[in-house]
Amino acid sequence: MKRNLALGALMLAACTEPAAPARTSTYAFDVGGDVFRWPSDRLPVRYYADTRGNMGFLIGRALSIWEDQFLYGEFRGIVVSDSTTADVIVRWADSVPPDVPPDAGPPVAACDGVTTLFFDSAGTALAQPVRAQIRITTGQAFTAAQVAACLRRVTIHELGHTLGILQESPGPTDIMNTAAPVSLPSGRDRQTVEVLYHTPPTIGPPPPR
Amino acid sequence: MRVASRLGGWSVSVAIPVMAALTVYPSNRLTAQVSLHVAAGARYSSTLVHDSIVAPFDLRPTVAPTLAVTVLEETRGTWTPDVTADISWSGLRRHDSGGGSTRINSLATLAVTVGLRRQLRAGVSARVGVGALKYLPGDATGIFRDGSGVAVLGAAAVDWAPPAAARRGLALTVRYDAHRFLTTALKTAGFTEPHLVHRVAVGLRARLGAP
Repeated sequence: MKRNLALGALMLAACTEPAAPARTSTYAFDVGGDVFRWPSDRLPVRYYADTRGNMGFLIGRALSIWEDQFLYGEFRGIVVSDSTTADVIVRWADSVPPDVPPDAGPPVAACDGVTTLFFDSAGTALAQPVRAQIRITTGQAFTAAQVAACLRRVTIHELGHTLGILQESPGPTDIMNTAAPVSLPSGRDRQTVEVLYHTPPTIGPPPPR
Repeated sequence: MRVASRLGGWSVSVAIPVMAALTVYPSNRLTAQVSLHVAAGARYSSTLVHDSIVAPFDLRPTVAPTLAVTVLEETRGTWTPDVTADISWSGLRRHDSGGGSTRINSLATLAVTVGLRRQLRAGVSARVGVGALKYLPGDATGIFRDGSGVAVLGAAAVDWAPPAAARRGLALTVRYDAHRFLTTALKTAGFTEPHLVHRVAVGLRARLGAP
C-alpha cells in the first residue's frame, strides 16, 4: 500500500504543471484607476513618424524593443507613411537633430518628450490618435552624439506611454522613470507592460481611421 | 535475424545504437529491402506553455496538417527498424481563461525519429521510436525570439491495414509523441521547468512503389 502511494506521489510529481513565474515586480500604469491599452483587434498599432531627420528609425527601433518585452504577441506596432491612417503620431516638437551615431558616455538629459491622450466627452475612449512629441533641450549645450543617445532613450520612454503605461516609474533603473539613465526597458518595465496587456482596459482606443 | 532476437528484451540502450547503425549504414544485402512510406493527416498538440498574468491562459498550436516520410527496412525479424521525418504546419494561439483566443504566430514542427516496428497481428503493426524535434516559428518573436532549441522526442504509433487496404499498400495510422518544451525566452521570463507536450496525429499511410 505504501509502495503504491509512493508511486502515485511520484507520478503526480512528474505530472505537476510547471509553475508560472510571478510578475510581482511592477509599478502603476493606470491614470486615476483607468487603464488604457491597445486591444488585440487593433494590432498592429499604426505609428506615424515625423518624416524629418531619423524619427522613422527611432520609432521603428523603439517599437521593436517594446515588442520584444512580450512573450505572447500581446502588442505589435508598425510604422505607416500616412498620418491620416495612424493610431499614434510622433513628431519633433521644434528643431530636427542631425542623424549621428549616439554617444557612448554617461547619459545626459539632452532631450525630452511628451505624450498626450485625448479623451471623448464620456471619458471612456480616446477621441483621436495618441500624439507624442520629442524635443531637443536647448538650455544647455550638448553634442549631437549626446542628443542622439538621449533620443534613443526618450523615444522608447514616450512609446511606453503610447502603449498605455500612463505613469512614470518610481524605479531609477526603469526606462519609464522620468530621468532614467538606462537605454533599454528593465525587468520591471517588462513585467509592468505584460501585466498591463492582461488587464481589462477601461478606456477604449480611438476610432479606427 | 540475430539483431531482432537481441532486441526482444527491450534493452533500449542496446536497441537504439544498433537500430541507428542499421539505419544509417545499411549493408548491401539489406539495401534492396528498404521501402518508402508516406503518411498524411492531422495533428493535435497539447499546451506548450501555461502561464498566468492577471488570469491564466494557455499557448497551444492549432490542429495541423502533417506529412511524414518513413524509410522502413523490410527485414524478416520480429522488429524492423525505420527512420521517419515528420513535419506539420499550424498556427499558434493564446487561449485565455475567459474563452477568447488570439492567433499570435505560425508554427511548423520538424521531427526526425528512428524507430522499431513490429507486427502485432494480421494488419496491425506498432512502432516505438526516439528522435529530435525542432520548432520553426513563422516569426522569431515572443517565446521564440531567442530560438527554440531542439527537443528530445519519444514516439509511438499504431498502423491498421484492413486486407483490402493492405493490398494497395495503405494503412490507417495513429502516431503519438511527447517532448518537453522550454525556450530561452521563457527561461529569461522566469520559467524553470519545461512543459510536457503530447501530440497525436491521425492519418493515412501509403507505401510508395511495388510491395
